[in-house]
Amino acid sequence: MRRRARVFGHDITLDEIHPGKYFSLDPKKVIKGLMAGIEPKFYQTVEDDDIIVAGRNFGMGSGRESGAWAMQLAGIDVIIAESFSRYMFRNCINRGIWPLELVGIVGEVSEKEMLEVYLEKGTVVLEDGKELYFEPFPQKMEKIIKSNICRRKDDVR
Amino acid sequence: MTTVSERFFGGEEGDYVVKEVDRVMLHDGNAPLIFDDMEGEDIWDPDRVTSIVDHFCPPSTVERADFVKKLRGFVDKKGIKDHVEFEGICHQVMCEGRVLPGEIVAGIDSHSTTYGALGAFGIGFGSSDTVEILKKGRTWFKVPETIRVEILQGNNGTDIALSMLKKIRYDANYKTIEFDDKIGLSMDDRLTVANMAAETGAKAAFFPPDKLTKIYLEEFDIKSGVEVPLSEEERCVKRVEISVKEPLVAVPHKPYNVKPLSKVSGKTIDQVFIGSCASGRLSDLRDAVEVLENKEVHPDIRLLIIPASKRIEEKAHKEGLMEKLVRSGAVILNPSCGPCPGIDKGLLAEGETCITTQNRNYPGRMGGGDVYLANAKICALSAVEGVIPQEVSI
Repeated sequence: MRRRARVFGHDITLDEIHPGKYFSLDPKKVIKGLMAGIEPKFYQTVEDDDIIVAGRNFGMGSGRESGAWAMQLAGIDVIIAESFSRYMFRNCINRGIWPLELVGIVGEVSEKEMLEVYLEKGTVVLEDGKELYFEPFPQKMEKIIKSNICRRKDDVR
Repeated sequence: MTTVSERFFGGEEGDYVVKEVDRVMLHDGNAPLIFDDMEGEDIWDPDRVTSIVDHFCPPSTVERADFVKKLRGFVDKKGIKDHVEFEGICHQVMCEGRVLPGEIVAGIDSHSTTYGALGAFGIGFGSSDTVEILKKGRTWFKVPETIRVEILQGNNGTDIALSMLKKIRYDANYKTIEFDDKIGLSMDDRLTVANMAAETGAKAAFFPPDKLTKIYLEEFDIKSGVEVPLSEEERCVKRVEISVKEPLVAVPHKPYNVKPLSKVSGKTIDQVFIGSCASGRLSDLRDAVEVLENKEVHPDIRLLIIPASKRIEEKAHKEGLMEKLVRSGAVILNPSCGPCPGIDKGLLAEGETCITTQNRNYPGRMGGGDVYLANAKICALSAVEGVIPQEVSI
């Protein structure tokens, strides 16, 4: 899959990914909170093929699933981070988003760089042709994520 | 020898296992996200589920009033009898006679690690995972590695927790923390330490149930003789020693940005909050009274205090603590989460500063502004002086 990287740093907390004040059952309100703790109105800049690239401990802190839901609503289907909080990791899987762990990704990718992501092979190809490697998901987990991709298709963008 | 985690989950370290849970905790802050998915679904055992209103308690917007209304309808329809409102913060309420040593408790909240104070495995989940658990009574786990934390010196749960955060930072992600309590902490302090272990990323935090646990549970007419020894040291991936020698403060914007009090004293503040699931227990209220008695809150400061539960509030009234706090100028709010998650009474304006006994100081955690974390005595003295104090006895 060909995707555009939206790059964030290390230790991004769930309170930044989705501030508490955007907690709602209304998808139109939930999507507005996406990354709003770092960049208000980020959701307006998200394009169809955008994914998140981040550093260590992405999603640390709260387990509120509204963060992963907001990403799902924005059409983000992959997050590449150096590591995830266990809440973000599980919530992504449950929302049909691929949480890929790739150490060193942050220093390699620039904002809005186009990436080729090969899920089965476990490779990310950068614009300059450089290849980075991650551990592909075991088949069992792959099946779970794929079945979750079909869930909840509220399109609010 | 097996580790405590291996015993709880019934597998070897690193294995993916499917395991039954003993109990589920729902609260109004996250439960609304499960209603749609639970439509037409039965709960595997409604008697093992507790529903607690604490985030929107009472609700401050019409939308939140609607969440709570829907939660009441949900528990009625699904046959959940144990639904409580105005009883306190979920984790404190769970530890007042609901969680038992040796249990696996799934909470729809990241501070579910608190139940480890009672020798249970409290594990937090998002809403989709909680839906699966409610339907089947079980879920998948990866059996975690173990970090041993030895508590050697310290008089206060918050300082011990901050010292632990300074040493471990977020490096307990996916792991279990086991506490070797060498100094005989009070249950209030254990609850604080197990609660704040969530900020290390830990999956569970565990104090082996002992005599103190037994005595604590007797207050709730629970007789428990469950004993679970610590994992052997050679099975632990890391060993951390905690010796608190001076009061500590976590500075913005991470709970592990911990400094000695002396490095931050003099900092001007606008609000003080003593409460949250990390604090607001009787010992914290006593500490606050010790500092505030016969003194007045600084005119430029708002001091908000929230007892963690109704039971604690009643005890504090009986001891005369509340009267003293009110007389010194504190504002007492009803047992609930309050300003901590940035959604309810007591939020900060941009540019304001708060010092608090809560567990998180992430950007935007309390609305706008900056948040410092410290024990109840430091917080109370800050309220009197209007700045973070030079020193405080611990």
